[in-house]
Amino acid sequence: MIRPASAFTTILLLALAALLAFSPLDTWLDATMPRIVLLQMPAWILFGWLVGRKRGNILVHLDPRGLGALAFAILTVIFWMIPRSIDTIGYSTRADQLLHASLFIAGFALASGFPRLPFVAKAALCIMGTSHVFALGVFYTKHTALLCGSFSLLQQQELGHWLLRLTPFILVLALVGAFRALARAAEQERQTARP
Amino acid sequence: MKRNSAATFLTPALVILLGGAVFSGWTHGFRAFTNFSAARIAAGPIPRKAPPLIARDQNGDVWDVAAPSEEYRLVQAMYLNCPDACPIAMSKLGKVATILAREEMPANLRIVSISVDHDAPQDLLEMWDAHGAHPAWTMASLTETNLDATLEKLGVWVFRRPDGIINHGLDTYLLDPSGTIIRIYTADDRLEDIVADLRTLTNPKREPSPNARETSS
Repeated sequence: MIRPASAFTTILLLALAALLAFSPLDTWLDATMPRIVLLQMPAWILFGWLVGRKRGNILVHLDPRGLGALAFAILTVIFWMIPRSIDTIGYSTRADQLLHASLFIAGFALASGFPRLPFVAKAALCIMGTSHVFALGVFYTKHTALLCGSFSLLQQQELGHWLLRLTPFILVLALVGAFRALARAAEQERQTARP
Repeated sequence: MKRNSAATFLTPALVILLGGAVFSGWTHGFRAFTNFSAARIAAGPIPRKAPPLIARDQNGDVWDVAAPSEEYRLVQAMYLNCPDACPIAMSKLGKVATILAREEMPANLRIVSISVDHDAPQDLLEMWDAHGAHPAWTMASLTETNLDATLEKLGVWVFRRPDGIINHGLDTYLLDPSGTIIRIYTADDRLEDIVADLRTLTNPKREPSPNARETSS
């Protein structure tokens, strides 16, 4: 049974996603490497995540533990972090549309699979994600050769600097999430222990 | 219940397998992660015949850089208005020439910087002068209208940005006297190794240096 409010939110989110995909904002986001990686990619994952929170249960029978969803999300993000893949956004509309669709689905899959993961797996994923952001930051900052030929060395290094700046915030977010999950688990334990 | 547990492992396994196949195809078997390396691999393994590279040099002479001749040719793409990468790459080429000339410049080696931007002979001559007017170093512009297709055949990826900047591969191609590409030196290759390799190749009588490569790239 789909609640009207939930259906309205989903439609609203999809409409916003369509607006992002087909408005001049998309052209602006595609123009530089930092905008693609730091704004566009998270935005599409977020859209997918928000819709997935409402509709993600449709994947449960296909992927009971959420591992497939998780694998899909990780592989999709890694694919779009390959310099050759980022490059294609600079000159191919189809690649850009593929980026939108795949990251939206990745966000959707993540919303479906992530909550079903055990705490340890969630923590491992957050640590891995944070360390990758840091590693990419160091790599793009220090690498003196152009890796993404559709963009510039300056943009490449700018992206690296931004990733390094963002790492502590992502770490703090991950820690807050972890502490909240631990607190929730402790609370549940207390409630079940009550006579 | 059984169906559920099968799906637990089958779905992620399928996703990983499919993802691996996509990754492998996209990166030429996990070897090319940039468009530059993908173009190099897509052009084919070496040794292979270089495409005709008809170019006008700094003296205004037109010749095919890849045609059979008595010389080995060390070819690298560049253009004169390049703001960052080309000056560094050309300075590396200049150092190769200087180090080679310190002992004795191989008489059968020509260094050729080919412009991807139809640079005029007069401008090339000025750049050649600025880089020391080395007699074994030629600067030339490809004469074709559609340069990118030729460069792609060579293995050089070119992207012309809307702001006028041309991003292109900086690999250095060594052509033997028959016009066959026998080496591709990447930007990561050490100067000393390149020089040692060139000395050995251009002078077969010479004892191979420990820095020289044993096989083609």
